[in-house]
Amino acid sequence: MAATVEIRKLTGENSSITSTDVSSGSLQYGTSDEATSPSPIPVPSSGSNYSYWVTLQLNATAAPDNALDNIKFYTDGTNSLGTGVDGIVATASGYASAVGTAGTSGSLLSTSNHDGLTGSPSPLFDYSSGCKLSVSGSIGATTGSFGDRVVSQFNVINTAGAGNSPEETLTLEWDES
Amino acid sequence: MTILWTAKYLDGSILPQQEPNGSTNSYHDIDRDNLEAFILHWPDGRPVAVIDFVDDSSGDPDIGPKRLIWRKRHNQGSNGTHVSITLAGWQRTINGRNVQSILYINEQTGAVVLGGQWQEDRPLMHAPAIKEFE
Repeated sequence: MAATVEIRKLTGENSSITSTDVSSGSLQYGTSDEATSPSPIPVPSSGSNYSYWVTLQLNATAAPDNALDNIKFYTDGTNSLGTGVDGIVATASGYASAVGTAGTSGSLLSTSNHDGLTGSPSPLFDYSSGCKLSVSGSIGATTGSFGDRVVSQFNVINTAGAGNSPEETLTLEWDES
Repeated sequence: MTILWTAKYLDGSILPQQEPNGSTNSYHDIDRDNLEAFILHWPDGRPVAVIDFVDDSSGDPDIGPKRLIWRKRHNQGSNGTHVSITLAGWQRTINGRNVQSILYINEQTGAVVLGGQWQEDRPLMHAPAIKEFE
């Protein structure tokens, strides 16, 4: 009767996408295309190092009576990651493997590097509960992945400190009927 | 704990979301033209809220009928937190303007918030994707 929905992180090649449930654990960003515990992002001496972009999508493992729709994404609106660390986000109608130089930097998330993006990425922390990112897509009374993907990336510049950044919470909302 | 609904009709009959035998009825199946009340309750039957749908327009042609809206809204954080609310109420056309009166009920705490118009800049109080029959 009630749907069961997971947040899935998508990794791997287009031809063999791995979908991992990340609903109940922390989501880490790093410089390798892994579902969990990617390589850290080195602080560069100049310029920026990027995380590999992270692709999230909702997946219904138990079907709703009618539909799941009206997907929104947001942060708390405040970047608490520390000096020299920031993020961007976009939605994507298609999947593209996260690419870059493993252990050093991912490729910049852009419409040039990710042909599935529905538009240019925006600053991640521009989206808050008062200004949500709308994510297209829905699913009827069936199971499976649904909605566009939410693709996000963090970048680190030379003023960043060493060590793990503090945690931030990314939020997905959806309606069930 | 999830909140269930029961539609009560003008002739006294009901359509529960969950029948005693465990089968379920769909929100789409509600006969909106004969709705007297939309009752929200816990699975053991304890009521949470009752939304009245009796015509209160006093025949005023500028006041349209109340149109039922119900959703279960889910909020999932990357840190594992999950909040679910039931939003239910009505919208209607008054003097050509669409207005809403919506209850937002936290399924974890049972707290109820009575909201008015959709508020896109407030947590959990944004408009749903309105369906044709709403």
